[in-house]
Amino acid sequence: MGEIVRVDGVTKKFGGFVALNRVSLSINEFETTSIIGPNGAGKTTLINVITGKLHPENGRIYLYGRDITGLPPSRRVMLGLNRTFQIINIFQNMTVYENILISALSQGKDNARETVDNVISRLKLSEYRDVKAFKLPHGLQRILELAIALATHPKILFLDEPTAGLNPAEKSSITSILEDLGSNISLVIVEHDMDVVFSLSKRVIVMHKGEVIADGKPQEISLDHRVKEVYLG
Amino acid sequence: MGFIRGKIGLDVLTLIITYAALISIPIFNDRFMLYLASLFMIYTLFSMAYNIMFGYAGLLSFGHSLFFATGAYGTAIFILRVFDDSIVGLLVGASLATGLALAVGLLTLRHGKIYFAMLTLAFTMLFYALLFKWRSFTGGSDGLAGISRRCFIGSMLQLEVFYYFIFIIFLVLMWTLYVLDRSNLGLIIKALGSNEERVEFSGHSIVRYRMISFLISGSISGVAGSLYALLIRVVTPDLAYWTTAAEPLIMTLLGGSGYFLGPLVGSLIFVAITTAVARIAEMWQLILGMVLISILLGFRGGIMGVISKVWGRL
Repeated sequence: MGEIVRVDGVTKKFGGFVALNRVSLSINEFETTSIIGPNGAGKTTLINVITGKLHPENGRIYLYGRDITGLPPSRRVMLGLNRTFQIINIFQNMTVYENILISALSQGKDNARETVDNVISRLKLSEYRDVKAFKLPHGLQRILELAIALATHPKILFLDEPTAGLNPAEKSSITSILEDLGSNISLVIVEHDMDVVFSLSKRVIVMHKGEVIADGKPQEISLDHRVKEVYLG
Repeated sequence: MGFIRGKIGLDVLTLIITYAALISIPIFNDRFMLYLASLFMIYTLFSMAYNIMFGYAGLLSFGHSLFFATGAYGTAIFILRVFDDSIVGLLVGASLATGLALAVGLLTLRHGKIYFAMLTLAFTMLFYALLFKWRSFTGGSDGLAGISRRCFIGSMLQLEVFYYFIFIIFLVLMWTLYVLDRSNLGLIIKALGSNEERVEFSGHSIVRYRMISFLISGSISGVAGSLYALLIRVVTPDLAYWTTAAEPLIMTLLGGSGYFLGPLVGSLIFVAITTAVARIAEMWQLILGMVLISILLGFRGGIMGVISKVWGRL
C-alpha cells in the first residue's frame, strides 16, 4: 500500500489556541482510515489544512510526494484530493444535475455529462436529477455532496462526519455507499458514530488536544488505554 | 442545454417581443421615442453587464461607471483626436474598457467582497477626478462635444439611421448574453454567486471565474458607454461619477437580479419613470426612491419576482 498523503509537522493555531500541534502522519492507498477524538481534538482542522481550506503556520503537506502546502483548494481537487463538509455544502438553489455538472466540468468539458450520468446512477440519484437541492431530505443532500466530490474523480476523499444528523436508515445507506467506494478511492473519515467507524475502517487515528495519541487497527485502538482515558475521562 | 428548465421559453419569447417592439418604433416617426428606445437599449446592456457581477457572480460593484465612462471617453477622444469613425471608435472604447477591467480585476478580485465593492468605488472616483482635472485631454468639467457619427459605411448622423446601429449591437449582445446564461460558463459563474467555497472545492478557481465575469461585464459596459457617447454626442465627467455606477444597480434591483431579463425589465421601468415623471415635475428621484424602497422592503425579487409569483412557477 503506497502512501498518498503525508502530513509533516503541521501546526495550526487560532489565536492562542493550538488546534494542531506538530502533527505528522501519512495516509495509505485504499486503507480506509477513520480519525476520531473528542470535540476540539483538531480532526476537522486537520482535514481543513490538508484540503487547503486553512493554511498551517508550520509544516508541510504532500500529495504523492509533491508539496501542496501553498496550493489553493481547487488545485488540490485537480490533483485528486477532495472532501465533503461537516455542514452540508451544496448549491442549494440548483438541481441535483447542475450541482454535479459544475464539479464534473472542472475535469474537462468533453466527458462532463457522461461523468454526471455515471455518478447519478452509481449513487441512485436518478429520480432526483432535476430536483432543486434544498428540496432533498437531509440524507440525500449528504449523498449529493458525495456525488459532487466523486464527479471530480478523487483518488483520496476526506469525509467530515458523513453521517451527522442522519436517521438510522440514511446512516446505513451512506455506510454501504462508502464501503463500496473504499475499494477504488482512499477514504479518510472523521466520525463520531463508532459503529460506522468500526464497520468501515482498516485503520483508526485517535486525536486529542491537537495531537495524535493513537494510530492502528480498529481492534488495537479499542483496547488502547490512552484512548479509553480520553473518552471516559 | 435542457438542464435549466421552464424559463427558457419565456426568456426567448420576451427577447423576441422586445426585438419586435424595438424594430417597430421607427414606424411612429417620433424622434423622442427613438431617443428613449435608444436609451433603453443602452441602459439594458449596461445593467445586464452589471448583473453578471451582481446577480451571477455575487459581487457588488460600486464602480461600473468606470467602464461606462471609459467606453464613452475612449470613443469620444478617438473620434475627435485620432480618426473620425464611429465603428472603429466603438471598438476602441470597448477595448479600453476591457483592458481596464483586466487591470482593475487583477488588483481587486483577490480581495473579499466588501473590499472589492469599496475598491471599485475608489477606482471610479479616481477616474472621475482624472477626467475632471486633465482639462487639456478630457475637456475638464465641460467634457468633450461635437462627436460625429460618421463611419466607413456612411453617415449615421440622423438618429433614424443610428437607431438601427444601436439595435443591431443590442440584438447581437443580448443574444450572446442569453447563450452565456445557458452555457456551462454561465452555470459556473452563477454557482460563484451561490456558494464560492463549493465552487472552489468543485475544482474551479474562484479568482479565475471572477475575472472572466469581470471582463465580460466590463467590456459590455464599455460598449454601452460608447453607444451613449455616440447617442448624446457629448461626454462629461459625471459619466464616471458614483451616481452613474448606482444606476445599473438600481435598474437591476427594480427588475430582479435573480432573473436573466431582470435588468431589461428594470431599465424599461427606469426610463419610463425618469421620463414620465420628469415631464410633470422634477420629482423623478423622489418617485424612484419610493419605488426602490418598496421593492427592497417588500419585493426582494424585483418586478420579475412579482411576475413569477403571480404567474406560478415560470
